[in-house]
Amino acid sequence: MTDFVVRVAGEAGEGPTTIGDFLARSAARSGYSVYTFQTFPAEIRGGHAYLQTRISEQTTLSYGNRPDILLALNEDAFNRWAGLVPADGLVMYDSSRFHVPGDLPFRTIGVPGENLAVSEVGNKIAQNVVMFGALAGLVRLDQGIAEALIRDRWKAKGPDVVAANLKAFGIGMRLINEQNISHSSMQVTPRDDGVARVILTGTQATCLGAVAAGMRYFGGYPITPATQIMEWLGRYLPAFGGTVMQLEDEIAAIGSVLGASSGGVKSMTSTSGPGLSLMVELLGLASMAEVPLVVIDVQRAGPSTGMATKTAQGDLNLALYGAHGDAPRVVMAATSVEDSFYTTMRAFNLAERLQAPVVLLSDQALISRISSVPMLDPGRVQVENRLVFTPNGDGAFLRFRMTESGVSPAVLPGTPGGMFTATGLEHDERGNPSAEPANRTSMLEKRARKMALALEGQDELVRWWGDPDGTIGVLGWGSTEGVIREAVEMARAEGHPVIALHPRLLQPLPMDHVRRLLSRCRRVLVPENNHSGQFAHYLRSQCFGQWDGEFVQWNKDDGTPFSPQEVYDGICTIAR
Amino acid sequence: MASALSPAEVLQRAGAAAPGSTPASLFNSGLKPVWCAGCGSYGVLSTLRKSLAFLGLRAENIMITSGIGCSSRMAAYMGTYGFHTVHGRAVPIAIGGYLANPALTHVVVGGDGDIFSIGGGHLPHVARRNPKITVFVLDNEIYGLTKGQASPTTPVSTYSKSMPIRPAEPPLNPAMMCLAYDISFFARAYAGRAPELLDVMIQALAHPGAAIVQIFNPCLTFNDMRDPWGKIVKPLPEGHDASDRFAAMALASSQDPLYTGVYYRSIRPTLLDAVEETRTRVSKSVKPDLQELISQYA
Repeated sequence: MTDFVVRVAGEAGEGPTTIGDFLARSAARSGYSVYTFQTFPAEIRGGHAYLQTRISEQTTLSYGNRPDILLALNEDAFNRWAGLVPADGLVMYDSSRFHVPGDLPFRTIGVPGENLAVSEVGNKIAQNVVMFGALAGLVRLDQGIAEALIRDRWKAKGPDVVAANLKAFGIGMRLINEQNISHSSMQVTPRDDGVARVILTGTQATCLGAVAAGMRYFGGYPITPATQIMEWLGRYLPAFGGTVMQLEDEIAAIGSVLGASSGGVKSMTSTSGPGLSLMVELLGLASMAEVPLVVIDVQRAGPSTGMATKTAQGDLNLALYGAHGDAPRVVMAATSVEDSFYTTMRAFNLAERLQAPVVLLSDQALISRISSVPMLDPGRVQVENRLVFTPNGDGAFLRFRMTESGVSPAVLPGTPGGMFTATGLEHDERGNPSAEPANRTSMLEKRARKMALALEGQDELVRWWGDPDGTIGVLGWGSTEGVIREAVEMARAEGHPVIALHPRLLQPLPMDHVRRLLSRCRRVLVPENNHSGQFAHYLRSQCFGQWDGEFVQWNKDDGTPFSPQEVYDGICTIAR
Repeated sequence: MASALSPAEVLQRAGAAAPGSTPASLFNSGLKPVWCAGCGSYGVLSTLRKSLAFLGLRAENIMITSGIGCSSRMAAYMGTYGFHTVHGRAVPIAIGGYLANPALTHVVVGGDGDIFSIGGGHLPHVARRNPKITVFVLDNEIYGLTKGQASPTTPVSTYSKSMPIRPAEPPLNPAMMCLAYDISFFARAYAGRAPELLDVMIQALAHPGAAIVQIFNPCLTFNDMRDPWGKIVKPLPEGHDASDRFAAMALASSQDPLYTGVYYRSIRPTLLDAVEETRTRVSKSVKPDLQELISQYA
């Protein structure tokens, strides 16, 4: 079965991500499941970058472990990563730039990419497309599929640029084909398994989910790695009658979202850790004034500027607890590219249902991941809208009416007879400021009570994996779902009875599901991309006194996501 | 770009009835203000009600957004829709409200601390975006709610032994600042002269773009400026050309007299015009069809 990993590495801006992107998309269009991970330097130009693609006939759940093929565009890339290539792997490199030692355990294929680009295409810049052609020849990519991507990519620059790139591609591909170089288990021959797929990044899936949910106002501020969301929406949302605003800072961004949502328009912002930190005060206002909104936090390695282009799951504490006073909010986490679509739709549903803010956590690795996923079906999630009351003229409209569920019918400005002033001050049912003790207690209770409504339909907001009778537990969150699934299967193949629970809803936590897991297991592994074990600590507080087992932290904090092997190693430590 | 609207068209869009047809008593939520006796804000509140009534606006079509401070409490007293928010952020919150419901009349009420200090970073941007939002700044040159600290407009000479901290920095000149930002409407008024204030408020509310009105508003408890303001506040010279921004700046630089009236006014495309233009442009290449949008990634 075809299942291999290609890492394309080199100087950022010279094309490692372009080549990796072409490879992933060509493979996906050829009927394979793909999954990528890319890492960028923080520099605007230059620095080392790579894009790793896993290509498989089966659904890819992770970017894999070691690269079977390394395409090194320069010597630095070779020196960094050649040590990871297994003995039956391959290294393709630009032989016009450097030479490799002769005594390597794996096969090497030199392609004089830069020289050919200069001599045959007349432009050094075409090196990356020559190298892509050679890589395409090596893995037997379908020429038509690859060339269609090249045409698409450069069609806006005119026929001459398209022709030059097609020529560069052809030169690279022919060079390999003429020597008949290939590897029997690493071929991407077109296949048709009858599944309709789309090839999406996490950004695209998230944005499509927001549009599908009816989001029509976005207010944002540029921040790596969340800016791609604002850019995508800017290109498409206005056609739906929506508005995309770039504000002067993150506080203004979420402020405008509060204003627009109060006006009845489903609204969101997206940011990363530093921006979410700035938004905390207004998130509290959204809890207090009961304004639905969605904040998508694309996590990066913090604190402070941290490692702005590297991935992390370090904002959970801020998402859960970042508030003064008791400010109930929903926290969710998207788990894969496909899930980003459906979970984003559900985030808007919960915001509208509860009239409360929802923080949806994503991360750098997930938002930039390219993945082939089954055709998206917006019909799978029923779109919900907030309960709106039409005043009947009796003059007794109470915006914050005390109800059993805690949710009060909202009224939209412009409605005769519904006038009220929302406020961040504690207030009575009418909305008038009140510091009266009994009112205070009942209003806090009302806003907290609403959270239970998020648990309706919670079965849709968790996934179970592995051995239903398992006694070794894994409980993760967010973008690690695929890696955990794969690691669980590796461990099961070794005979370990492993069961995994992966909630999308983190606050309120679907405790029925968590208790079911705990009832089976004495030890539960909690893998997460942070240093301190934020989810593990949260779980301990939520489960205190209900279980005598142990949550075992398994953290990776270096700015890169887990590989399946790394999670597997964690499972082995508690399986002993 | 859609052509900018005239004041009359703005009022028509805002659902105004015939001028003067709404009684000012309508704009009253019935809540008793928390302000000290004699506070200038009572007069501003009453004049704001009159100006909205004069323009024939209906309470349900008015959205008042405010921040934190004595004057920001005004939103809840109006009987319109209101959003009393957090310190300094009323302007960006109002921009969201305006974009959601551009046909409503959007008003921001705040103080000198709220709008010029903590919220000062939002001012240049509201000026360059030009949403149709009218910002009334009740400037008492002091932080009243927190009991008398210097604000960005407190003159160093204001210091008295009752002030907790001596103001050390020279004050801002908000008029110069707003004119430098090229806000499309800037006016000043004095709460102690209600007829003039009413005239300025009506003009500001009818302006088809972003308007800022600085209202000198005495705080009797911490900064009673009635005497000095009574002496130095004077109407802008007869014949001031409100289309001349540099003439307006020259007049704004005067400390004595402090001129009141409409300093500057220019009619230009609004934020809504820009938003609509973007929608039209994007719609040329993108169809509002979700399924088609998804399928492009096949």
